[in-house]
Amino acid sequence: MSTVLVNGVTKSFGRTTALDGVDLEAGPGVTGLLGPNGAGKTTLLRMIATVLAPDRGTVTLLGRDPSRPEDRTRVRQRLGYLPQEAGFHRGFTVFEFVDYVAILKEMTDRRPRHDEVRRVIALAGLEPVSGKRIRALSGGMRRRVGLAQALLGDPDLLVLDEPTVGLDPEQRLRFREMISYAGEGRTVVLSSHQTEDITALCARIAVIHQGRTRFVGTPAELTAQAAGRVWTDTQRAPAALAAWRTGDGTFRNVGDPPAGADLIPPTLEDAYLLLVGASEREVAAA
Amino acid sequence: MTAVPLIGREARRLTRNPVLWLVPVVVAVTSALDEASDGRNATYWYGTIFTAVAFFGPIFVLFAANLVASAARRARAEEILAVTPTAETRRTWAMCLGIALPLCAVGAVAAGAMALVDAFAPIAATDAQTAGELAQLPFILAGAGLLGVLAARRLRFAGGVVIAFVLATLGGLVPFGKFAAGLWWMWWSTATPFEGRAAVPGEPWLHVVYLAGLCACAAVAAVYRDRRRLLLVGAPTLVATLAVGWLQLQLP
Repeated sequence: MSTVLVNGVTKSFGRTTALDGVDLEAGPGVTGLLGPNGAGKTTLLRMIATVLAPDRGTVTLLGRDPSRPEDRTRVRQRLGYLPQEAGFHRGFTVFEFVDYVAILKEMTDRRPRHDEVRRVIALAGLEPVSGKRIRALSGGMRRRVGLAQALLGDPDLLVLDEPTVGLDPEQRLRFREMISYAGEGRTVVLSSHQTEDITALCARIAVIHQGRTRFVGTPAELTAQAAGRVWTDTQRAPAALAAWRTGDGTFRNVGDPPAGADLIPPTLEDAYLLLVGASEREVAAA
Repeated sequence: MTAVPLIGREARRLTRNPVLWLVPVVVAVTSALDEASDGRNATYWYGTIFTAVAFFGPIFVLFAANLVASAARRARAEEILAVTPTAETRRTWAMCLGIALPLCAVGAVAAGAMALVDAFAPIAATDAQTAGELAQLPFILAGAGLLGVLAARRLRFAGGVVIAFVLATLGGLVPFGKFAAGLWWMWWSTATPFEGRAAVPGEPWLHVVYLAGLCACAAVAAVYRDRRRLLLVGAPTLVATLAVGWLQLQLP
């Protein structure tokens, strides 16, 4: 059975439709939501994290209906969530904040709770700064605090909104390690507009654009859609959807190649650009 | 039960708030600057404890409690806390208790200290407070803390607590005409060790109940955000509090 089942979900904020009939299914492993800024990824993740309720459609999490208060509490007992703009009580130390969240996650016995807090702090590589106040930490360290609290209690469903945003390359690699560990046997749903993160981590991806699901499948399947549509040339091809000069001085063109073009294997990023470009053209035509 | 550790955690957050620790600092400074014309005798210390708990205390407690209760909103940590299995109602109840209980304890200790001073060096009848008046101190402090929580929950913007402070002070002053009484800042107490007259006429023990009712009203208004439950729990609490308030004024 799928851990996350989103069916025909619509959500509007005033006149803006953030999600328009979105479907998504996610089971154990890491599922990535890919899409440009404002695509609706955060809205969808907030629904999966039980922060928001849909206007229409249904969301089923861990076999329960979070629109019912009792079910919602049950889901939250097995949920870890890292919001996009995770804030913290800045006067708390790392240990105190994670411990505070642990109390709210109904870990009442002091000794096992403290053991669990120490475990997630170690997992997030925060042991050296465990006694430091959060306000004294760098942005990357704070992001790790966010992940540490999300990992409390070994949740069955982990929802991570842009977990690697604002991190330097080393921190991103460290984060990937942690997320890939978390995805072993659990369901992790994360959003990103970094295709490298998605390629590195996700077994399944969904591309969201302008509030709609444009693709659901594996990264390899999405990449395969761009086969025969990426080529190199000495100049920017006028018909290319996107083109840029690479390190060796040639242009990498993505779009509809001319006859006899020097085709090269596509990447996930190429396929993503093609998909988003096509959906933009579709919307413009409509 | 998450309640006990959570209440303990909120209490710890309050006691660690630096604004709260301004109370002893301000009292120490004002005492040092005070000429104390009759010398620092028992009456002086009796009045100093009272001033610390009934005047400076509530003001600083209001702001300290507000800072504690609004910390998650100011730090934008609400979303992380919202998806925990502990509902907002329970979290707010824990916060109310975590803030009110230690303040009640401080008020009780202060009342006990005043009673002790009076026992060893009897205070003049015009300055001494009755047991009923001393019993108000815990609720005065707790009430200020709960008002801070209420302001954090209902006035969710910077400066909301200042508005709450001004409104509460004016709200207390206007109906009781305290400006005329010359004790305008003591709107929350029937007691006065000054000038030998009560700031609020009425029965001190019933005033204790009235203050407890105000504490309950503030807590209920802070906890219940949906109109139905607020009405269901808040309306009887408010009616009972107003009834006691009215009744205490009818008795000598």
